[in-house]
Amino acid sequence: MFRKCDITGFEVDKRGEALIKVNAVFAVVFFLVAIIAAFFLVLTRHPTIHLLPPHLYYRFLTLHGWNALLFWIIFFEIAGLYFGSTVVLNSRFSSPPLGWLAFFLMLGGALLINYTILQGKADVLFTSYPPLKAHWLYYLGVLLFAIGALLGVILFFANLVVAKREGKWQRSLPLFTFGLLTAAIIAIVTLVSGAIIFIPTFLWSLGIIDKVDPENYRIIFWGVGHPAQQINLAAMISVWYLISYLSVGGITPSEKISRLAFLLYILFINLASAHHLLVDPAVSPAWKVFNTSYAMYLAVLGSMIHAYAIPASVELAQRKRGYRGLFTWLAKAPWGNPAFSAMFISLVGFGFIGGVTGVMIGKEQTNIIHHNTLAVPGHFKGTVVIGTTLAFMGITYYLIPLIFRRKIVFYSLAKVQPWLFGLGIAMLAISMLALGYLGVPRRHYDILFSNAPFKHEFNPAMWFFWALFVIGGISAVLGAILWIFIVVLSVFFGPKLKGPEDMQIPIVPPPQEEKRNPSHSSILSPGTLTLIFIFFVWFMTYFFLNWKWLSATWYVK
Amino acid sequence: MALLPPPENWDKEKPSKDEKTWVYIALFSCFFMFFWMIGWHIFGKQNTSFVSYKVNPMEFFQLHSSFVEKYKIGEKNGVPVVKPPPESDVILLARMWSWSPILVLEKDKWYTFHISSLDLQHGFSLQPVNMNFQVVPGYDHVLKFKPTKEGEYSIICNEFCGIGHHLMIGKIIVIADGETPEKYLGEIKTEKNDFAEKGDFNPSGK
Amino acid sequence: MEQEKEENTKASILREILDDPMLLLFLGVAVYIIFYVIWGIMEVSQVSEMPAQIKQIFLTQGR
Repeated sequence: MFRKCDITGFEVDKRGEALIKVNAVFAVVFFLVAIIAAFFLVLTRHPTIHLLPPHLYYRFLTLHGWNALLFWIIFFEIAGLYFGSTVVLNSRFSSPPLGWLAFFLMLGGALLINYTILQGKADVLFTSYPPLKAHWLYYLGVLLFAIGALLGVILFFANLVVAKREGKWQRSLPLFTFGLLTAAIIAIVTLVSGAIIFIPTFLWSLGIIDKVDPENYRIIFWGVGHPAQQINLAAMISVWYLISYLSVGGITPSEKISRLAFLLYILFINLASAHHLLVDPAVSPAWKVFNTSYAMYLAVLGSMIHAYAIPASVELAQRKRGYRGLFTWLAKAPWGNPAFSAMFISLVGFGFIGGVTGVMIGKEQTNIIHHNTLAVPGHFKGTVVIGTTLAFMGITYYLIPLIFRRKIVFYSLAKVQPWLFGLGIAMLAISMLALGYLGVPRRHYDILFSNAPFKHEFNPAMWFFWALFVIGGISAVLGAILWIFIVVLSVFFGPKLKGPEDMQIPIVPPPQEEKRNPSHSSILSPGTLTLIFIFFVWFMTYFFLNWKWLSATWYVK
Repeated sequence: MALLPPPENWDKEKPSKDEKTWVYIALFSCFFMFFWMIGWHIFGKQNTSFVSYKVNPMEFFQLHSSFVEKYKIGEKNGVPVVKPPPESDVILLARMWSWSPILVLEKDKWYTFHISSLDLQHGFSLQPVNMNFQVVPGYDHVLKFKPTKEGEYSIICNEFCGIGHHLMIGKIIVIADGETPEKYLGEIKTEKNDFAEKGDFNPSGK
Repeated sequence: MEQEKEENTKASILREILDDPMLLLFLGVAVYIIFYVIWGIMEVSQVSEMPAQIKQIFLTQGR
């Protein structure tokens, strides 16, 4: 049942490993679908290219939303959850048959959803807001996928329980698994909310229920939609810690504070679903402000803690190896390791682009100048794509040798891939944000209003950003295709890995442990502190800019 | 350490000075941002609505028709142009795929908008000021607006509402003292027709 | 001495919470359900019908 990894020393349950592999493989399959759709969308959104006709644009948008935001990421996360609750704990997989059931439910649901979308029976976009109605098979697909994923998440908890009972862990889980636990808890919130809202919506699509109230739907749907992305946030951060550990032997400066940061996520991060309802009728400013903020800013504190802890983990390890100087530790970091570069680009991209824009879009009043503009997808490209997706791409470079036991084909290209993808997405996200600030709507086929009764002319500056949008988008598509290419070739056709000597991507052990007793007066990671201050200055600048921009509009209350 | 259990007394270890400094700064900024939002409700000029009502879409359509009939001053591309008195309640109706009416407002005056939809959800996106609100059928989204600058404004729909979504565009005209709506709209037919009752037009011509 | 003991207990409470996955699951779900879902749904259910006087503003004929 077990094999002992000859590289890491972990005991690996082979039945669980099979499940990890199959979920990871299908994650990549759906990612490919998402990327193909993305290619067409980039070239359609540009106002003078318009590659697709209108109905296909909205259809591909729905397809891209599901495959990128949900199928790719959740299949990958299920693989990660299984990994973190079995391999990392040297423990067995609680119930492989249920694991396979979960997989087939998810697969069936995903195929059904893709099928109904491609058939034109679900041109509702991934939010499927009533009274917009899709074919009932679509909602059935959603329920199947959600139940499968829920089962997978429950198995994560079951694995933890089994491992504890069999003495594989006492008291405290390893930080990586603890981060995944955070992700799993958020996933439970997500999927339970999904059941609460999609069961009645499914019945409505069948004509059994008369009506689904649109506002109630929005509240519960975003209890699915936003926490779904917070699963990605927690998983991404766990992967960042993991990559730091594997690539430089990085250890978090404080287990207590890092875990506390995850606790803040667990308690408060789901409340920020209210972000999507900030300019809705029916819900009060009090509900909006509390949910989108106070509690949520404690969750933002969680993010700011991790934003410090992960670079600091790298810096501390590097300093122990003898690198002095403010940024030498960073300059001499293993940039040639594609997992490390992916992690760091992901971190910077998420912090400077995704994170701060999320906070500002998510403030009750500044949401007024952002809601449903192109700034919103620009923001989430800066979180779930340059953040989570790139981080997952990075860790895959370790999974290929460690789980799939293959060498990485075209390893030299792999070193370039995170940059191509990361910079592409950064350009894409920034252009979308700028366009959104100019008022360009999201999910809109023709902002030149060619056949409309009236015209509106956006600020001509937009053309620069549309060019950036296409350049960034195509670069990102290329970066993604390159990754898929390397991964698929390696996993299915790569030379088998015979042992540690075949490892191309290094696993660096933590440097010699100094006495862990930092005195209060010394600053241990000045480089990180400097970087985080730069980030903070940017954050506050952006904060005040947004309020300034808001105050230039009409008065409204 | 990410893959291994933490040291035994990890909860007793004291964090480093730099991490603590950063956490305090971050925490302070979190509370600052929260209270700023509350403060903006008191001192800021742009806030979300405190008021909404439930309203049946067909009934809202009747209100729209009456409102249009009362204040209609003309028509443009099949959409009624309406000039309500300042400080009054106005109706804005969203439907697949148009906004009605075209409101003519006076600069620096308050108007209480009642915005709702006849059919699906729509997105009220006022350009170029870039103010965005959700429009939901069955709900009257009540928003008080005070235009701060004269000019021609567009209402774009930014919530997907079917294949005609990108054809859905309306107008709001804000006139300063002494100006007329014709300055921005051009000629607006003034003979009354039965648009308000018919409520039936097809801007895309399809 | 007292303070040290207090500090030890405080740290333990935090540790006890952090070390208990099921408790964390419960807390995560409960906070969300109470403050986001229940409060939100309650507010939506309490939205009142458009008052007659406002309807009258639009329905009365003449200027």
